[in-house]
Amino acid sequence: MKSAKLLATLAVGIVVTWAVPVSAQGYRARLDARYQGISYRGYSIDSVLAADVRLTGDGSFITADGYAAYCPAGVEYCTFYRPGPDLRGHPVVATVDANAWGFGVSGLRLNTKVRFGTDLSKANIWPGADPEVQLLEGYLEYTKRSLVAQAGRTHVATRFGWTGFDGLKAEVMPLGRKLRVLGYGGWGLARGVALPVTSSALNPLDEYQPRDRQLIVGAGLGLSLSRVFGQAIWQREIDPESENLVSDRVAFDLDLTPASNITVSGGAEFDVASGLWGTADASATYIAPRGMGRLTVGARRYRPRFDLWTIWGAFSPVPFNAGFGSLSVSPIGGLELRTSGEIYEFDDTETSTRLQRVESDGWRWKLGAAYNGLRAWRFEAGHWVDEGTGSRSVGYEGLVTFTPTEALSVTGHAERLQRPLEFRFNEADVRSYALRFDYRTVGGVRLNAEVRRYDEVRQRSDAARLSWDQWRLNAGLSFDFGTTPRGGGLHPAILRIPEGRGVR
Amino acid sequence: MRAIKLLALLVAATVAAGMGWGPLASAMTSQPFPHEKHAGLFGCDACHGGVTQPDVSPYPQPTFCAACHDGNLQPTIDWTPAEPRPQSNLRFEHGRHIEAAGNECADCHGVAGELPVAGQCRDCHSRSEALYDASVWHGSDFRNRHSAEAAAAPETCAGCHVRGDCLECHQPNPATGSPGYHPANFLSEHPTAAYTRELSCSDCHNVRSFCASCHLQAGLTAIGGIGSRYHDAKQNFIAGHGQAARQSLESCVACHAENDCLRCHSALSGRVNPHGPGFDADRLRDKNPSMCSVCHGSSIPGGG
Repeated sequence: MKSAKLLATLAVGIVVTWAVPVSAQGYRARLDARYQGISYRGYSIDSVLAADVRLTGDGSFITADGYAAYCPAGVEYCTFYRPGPDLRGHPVVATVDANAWGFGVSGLRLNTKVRFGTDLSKANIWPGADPEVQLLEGYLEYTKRSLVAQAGRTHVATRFGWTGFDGLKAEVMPLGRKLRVLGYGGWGLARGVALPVTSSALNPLDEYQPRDRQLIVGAGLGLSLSRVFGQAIWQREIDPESENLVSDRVAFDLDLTPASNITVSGGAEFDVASGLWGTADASATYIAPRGMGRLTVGARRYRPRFDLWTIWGAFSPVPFNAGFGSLSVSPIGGLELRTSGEIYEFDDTETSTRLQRVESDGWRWKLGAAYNGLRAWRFEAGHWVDEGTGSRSVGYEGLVTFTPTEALSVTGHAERLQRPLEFRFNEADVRSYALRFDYRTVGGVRLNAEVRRYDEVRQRSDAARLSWDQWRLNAGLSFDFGTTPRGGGLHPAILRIPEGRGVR
Repeated sequence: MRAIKLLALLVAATVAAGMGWGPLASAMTSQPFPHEKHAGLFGCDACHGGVTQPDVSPYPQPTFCAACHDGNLQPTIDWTPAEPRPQSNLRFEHGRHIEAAGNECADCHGVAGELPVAGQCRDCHSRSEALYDASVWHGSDFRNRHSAEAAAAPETCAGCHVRGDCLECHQPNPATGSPGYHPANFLSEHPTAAYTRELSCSDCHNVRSFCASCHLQAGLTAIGGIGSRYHDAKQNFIAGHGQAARQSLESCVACHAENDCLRCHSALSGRVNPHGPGFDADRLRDKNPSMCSVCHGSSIPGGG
């Protein structure tokens, strides 16, 4: 009922805001609504008396009805997995993104982004619908020459990823915007989501959660010249209850353009709290003249990071180091051939055992082609192999897009994915086929619909192999509107003066 | 049924607001130069004629202003041309858009001379190459290579794009499932990509709400330890899981709760030491002793 009231308030607010001339003098707004028909099917854990299982030839245990069972020594009960129920859901999500300005102060605007989600089925199995109403953004922004200031629910997008918070952010750009000084602070949101860490939606496994939201403070310094871009950022999060650190990191980025067709970029993070270098990368890109091709080579290092209120940092996750490259060429007009690859190796985990060998390195490779030389058609094909730690996959796909009119496009997609998983009891062979429609009306309304069929074969040696075959439906509506004219809109004074239109 | 009504109300209200009460007032004036006051006097190209020519400043010289603002006809003013915008990967040519495509200046800049947003570009560039293959503006294959550029210099993107442009594909929310960022059918492919972080999942997704919630629905969640014939494609997985965990811990925590591991890896029970290379006990204890106390209780080693 609470969410219904919130939604009603939101709807009324939208109408009132834009129906009464005394409020904002201009606005842009966008509505995205999406429906999906989905299905889940997994496993359900069960147990059986140890006396009721039998030993197989390879030393493992199996139940009387054919399920592989796990029977630790000395335990009275064995556990096993059986196919779970076929759960079906119908989630609907609508997002309204609105900007309004003209509050009597030049440069002042209000930005809001609100999302409503629910599952139309009784099953309520779609995690994105919890909570039903989410404020993704909601801030006042003031812009004047070299200053941008925001207050409210906002975010920063830095090398640390997407960081949201409720607070203040200010950016000053002196020296003709060559220099950028950034500062921000407030009450932080959880990683990768516009919810506080205290939200029950972030605790599906019923784990420990902080009782209070973390405080966040950050600062950045950037330099932007014609051939050099560099920036440094520092960010700290603090648990206000204990005053312990949640995270404390610094990072830098550097982007060089030594020649007009060569760029060199890189950056790194350092975790001040743990004293370890984090994720880093460096790459160089060469662009051939006349769009004939592009070559990128680089290296990266990836180290996961966990908030310090979790225990995971104490388990010493190790980074991997990778070298990568990609090449795309366009030998004839409309045709593009591309390939990319990466090899990587993890640092020593100091855990090796003779009882089991786990891969510590891997590689991946992709090959693709696209052709759009025909007026209304675009063709794409791809093949990839991924041989790595924990999982492997081999895939093939084809995609055809037909655009008969400016407004309509139809896309067909087919894919086969063989997915043996190193740490799983089963392997899978998935085939999927999809048809998608995209339609755009003259009024800025966009509609799309996709239907996809999954056929999956789970190659498991016991009775727990299940079928995950299903149809998935997806339909969306986007509507972009506002007071800013989409076209035309010349000032009447200009239209009255013929010479005012100038020579084109 | 209630949800449908609510959603219909939301859609109807938003559409009505957009279609029924659209043009209320003038556009925002975010630039210090009062374009509206001058619009009736001369055309845009009187001051900005250089935009169609390379190597010519798109701004007038102050002497041009002084023709009227001489202290007699109009008050004198203190105005200097803006600095040229820093180079970026945007491949925009004013000449092509004015002379070849027949656009007017106000089509993009309004009367107030505001900078256009990317959404206005898409009003015309709206076919299949539009957003997800932004070759029109950024060169071929930009979809595949833009992540590195965006990560290195997000401010460059922000010169033209607003966050909503990015979120069309990069929505940190499981509810949308929008295409564009991840390839088609990424649902099937994501375990492989996630194991070794081909992409940095946690930059956009919350592991708990995004990964664990779905895995819980799909029965892929272990409540109470490991090894229950789920990981047993290899015998003795329990013996080798340490290496797998240190290599891909983010994948482990997408299904496992802390208590699964604490059954063995705790000074209070099991007593199997989980600390490995690079672990600086003193440093972490100083930064956040609460983490230590989960396993060590009040007797944190070295804690005095």
